[in-house]
Amino acid sequence: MRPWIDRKVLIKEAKDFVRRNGYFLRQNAHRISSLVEVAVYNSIVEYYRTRGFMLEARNLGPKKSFRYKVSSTGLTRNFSYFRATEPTTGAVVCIFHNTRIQSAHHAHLYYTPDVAVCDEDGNVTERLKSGRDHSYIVNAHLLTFAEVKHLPPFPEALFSFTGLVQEFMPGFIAGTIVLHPDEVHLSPILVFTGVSSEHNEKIRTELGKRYGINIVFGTQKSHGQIANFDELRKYVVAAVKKGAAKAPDEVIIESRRLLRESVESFPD
Amino acid sequence: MKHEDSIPGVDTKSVIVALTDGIGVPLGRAARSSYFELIRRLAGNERFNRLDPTGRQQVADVLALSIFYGQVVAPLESGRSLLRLAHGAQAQEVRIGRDKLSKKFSDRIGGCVAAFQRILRAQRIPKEVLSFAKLDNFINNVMSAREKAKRETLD
Repeated sequence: MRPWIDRKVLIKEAKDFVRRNGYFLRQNAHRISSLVEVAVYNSIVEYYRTRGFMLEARNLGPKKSFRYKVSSTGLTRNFSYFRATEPTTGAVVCIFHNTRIQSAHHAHLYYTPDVAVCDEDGNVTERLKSGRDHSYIVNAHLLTFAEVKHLPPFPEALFSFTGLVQEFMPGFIAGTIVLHPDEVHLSPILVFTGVSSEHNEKIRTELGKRYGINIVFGTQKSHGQIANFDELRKYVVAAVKKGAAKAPDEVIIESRRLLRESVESFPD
Repeated sequence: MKHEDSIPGVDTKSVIVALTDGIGVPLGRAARSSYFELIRRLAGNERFNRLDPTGRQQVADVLALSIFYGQVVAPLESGRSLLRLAHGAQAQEVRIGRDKLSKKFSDRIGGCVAAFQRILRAQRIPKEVLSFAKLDNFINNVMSAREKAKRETLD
């Protein structure tokens, strides 16, 4: 009977693989490292494509080049981004990388996540009193954001992410957000490129259940994406959300009950 | 190799070394570091230690493939995917800082990815097994893949 995993053959084939591709991998190690950064952005764009959105690249550079923004500085108009349109409803989302997002609690506090998704009118460029221009995503138009840590998961980073969510999408912490696996928009995502300890796996499970956020580890990569999209939590973009008037108590209580039920259905 | 990177009765070295010896220090070191981090966890994992010796070896070997996939192959797939998305959206190339991802680079990436997938197919390792959030799930998935492969061989 042919064994499952013939070790001798596997080791030989692994060595052959390196013999044929090792030079390419060594020569392009730096590029491959930058692709790790791009992978999260790519995953979110690909996610919308798999949900049936039509993609359009905006702000292309010379020779129709897509200019990926590698640092937090710089105006939106100087870098490319994807605009995704849902063909039946006409809904539009824009997916930015390294672009500032506005706080839900204060109009002039910001932070720059690795990826941010907003609706069509979300990204603005304003002139400050100093005369400088400044681009950011208006909080009321923010749909989600992703933070990437090029590290193994550790408790401080895991718990700190809830602080970011509290500042920029507080509905998840307040429990006013309703999750549903059939919804389109992803809950905020924290991505670690490294492997986890058992304790951090527990923290991930607990924070995901408690707040409805996504925490992804390096071992979850699938088909070049950060994770299988079915594993990621999605939420209902409702009228009652960050920045809007506070919901009546009965709505909050009902939302929390629905949140509890919906997280119990997730495969954690 | 440190003592704590080994598991009695399991060869935790051959597959990961075969995959990483020759791909350069930046990629190789990252892959090995992640792999041995999880080997240390496996050594104390109840579910793992209940497996038969062959099962323990298979888990260790698939783990090496999983880590290699995550560190090396998945970023390549991702780069290719982004280029494909960009081309589909009327861009001709992608610039990341000073780096340019061109069609030529994409084709080369494709060759590398396809070669890795051939290794998986030849060993009848489903690609899905390589992705996991929890180590316990990974162990279960590897054993399920083994059982499925056994049933298919008998059929």
